[in-house]
Amino acid sequence: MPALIAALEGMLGTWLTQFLLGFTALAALITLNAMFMVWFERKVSAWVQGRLGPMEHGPQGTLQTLLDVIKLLGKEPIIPAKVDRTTFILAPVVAFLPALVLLSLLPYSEDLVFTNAESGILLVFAFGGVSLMGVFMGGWSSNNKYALLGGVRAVSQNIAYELPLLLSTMAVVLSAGTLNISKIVQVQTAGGFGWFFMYQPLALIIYIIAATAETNRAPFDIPEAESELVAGFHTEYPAMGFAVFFLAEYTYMFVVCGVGAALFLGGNHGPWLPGPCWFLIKVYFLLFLMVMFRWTFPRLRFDQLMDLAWKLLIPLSLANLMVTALVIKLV
Amino acid sequence: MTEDNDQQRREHGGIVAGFGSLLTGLKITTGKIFKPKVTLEYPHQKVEMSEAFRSCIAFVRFEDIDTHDCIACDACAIICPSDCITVTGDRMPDSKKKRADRFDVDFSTCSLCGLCLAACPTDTLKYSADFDDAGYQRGWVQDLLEPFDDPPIEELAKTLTAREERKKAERKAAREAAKAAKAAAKAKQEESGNA
Repeated sequence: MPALIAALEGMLGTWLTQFLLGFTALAALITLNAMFMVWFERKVSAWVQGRLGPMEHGPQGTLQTLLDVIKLLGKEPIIPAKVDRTTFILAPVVAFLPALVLLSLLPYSEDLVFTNAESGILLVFAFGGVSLMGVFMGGWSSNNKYALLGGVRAVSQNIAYELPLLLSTMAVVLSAGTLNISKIVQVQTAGGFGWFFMYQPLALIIYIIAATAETNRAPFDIPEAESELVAGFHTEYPAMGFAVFFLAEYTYMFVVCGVGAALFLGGNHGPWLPGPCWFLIKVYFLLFLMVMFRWTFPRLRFDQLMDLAWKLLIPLSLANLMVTALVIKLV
Repeated sequence: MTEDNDQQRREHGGIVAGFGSLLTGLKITTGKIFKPKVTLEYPHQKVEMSEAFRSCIAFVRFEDIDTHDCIACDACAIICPSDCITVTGDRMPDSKKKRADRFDVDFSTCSLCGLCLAACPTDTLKYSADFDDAGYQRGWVQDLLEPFDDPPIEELAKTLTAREERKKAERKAAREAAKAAKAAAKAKQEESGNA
């Protein structure tokens, strides 16, 4: 392997080699994560309901998603006659592409950081906002009232929940004194300081709620509420368009849980196991929580959703931020 | 709408109690993960059907003759409201008794009413417990006598005659016992009348 990398560097130069290796690793992570999460979600939902879930292909049905992907690849990509063609085709791409950038910003371990940006958290939220554009493009261009309503709901919901998400992370950023995600992790691992969820429990709770809403997951899945909107913004998408939206959704779940793990749970910090293992354990613990939320809580009505964000989460996170700032100023 | 929500919030005991109820819900669903599952992996595992389950008809295998006892009387075919039963059969050698050799049921029209069971004089029809039979074309005709691997007809005739004689003897014994009992009762009555 090192010989191969050296040969590549000789041919392409260091920068291009690093880019290619990083890109390949992240693309693999996106696919594996999505495939694992689809299987995991089906399994957990089944277990919670006393069922078994997929069992037929592979042990405990582990190969089920792989076969689903093959099925989706084999399907005809139908483009309805009255859609806005360019936007319709671009929408899943726009929704998905920022995911690559976001994944490269996560601190997998002390050494394994694809992009060590000084303003990491800012970049995460900026690129996360771009994906919303893709969702809205999909809803708008479908020329379908359910899809449009789904897109509109997604926009208003994400604007409402981006505020508590940002405000809760800002409390951590204030405490750590940096926007760089790797450095925030280092602050927590530095001798005896402890992870940030001990200092910011309220921020963690707000973060988890807002992150669940940001990724349009149940109980905040009103943009794709099946009982009201068929499938929301992706109603008109068959085959791979649909699959790419889902790939994006599961990747964003990984990203918000990764940021949560890095900011509140000490990232790659942990005994015995190497850094990336601990990071993945924490990420998948948070993902498990999100899956459990989906199969436990009933969906919120739209006004309840807005109520929760504007009347509860934003004032709470603001108060939390102010108290944090005051304590930091005084101590 | 806002007032509604405020009222709801008061009724449900406020934010803290609401948060607690969310945790209760999570505790229940997490507990369910470790509980035994109710799903049976159907084609590999099957449910044991209760004896009272009434599926499509089948033949009883009587123990004493090790085969069915269809005498091709056509009672089931006549009473069948869907007209889905066709029985063929012939007299056995050296006997007036008939014996069925084919019992075709068109399950695509059978309504599982069970009148054939009620009409059967030898009680050789029963409800089966097969809940997952399926036909793949119109006119799904099945010969219900096919699974019975009968011995040659002469041998079978002997078995049947033997059983007939045994039954006759049993009936006779029962009749005589009844007679004896009656006589004994009469004698007793007379005795008590005399006294």
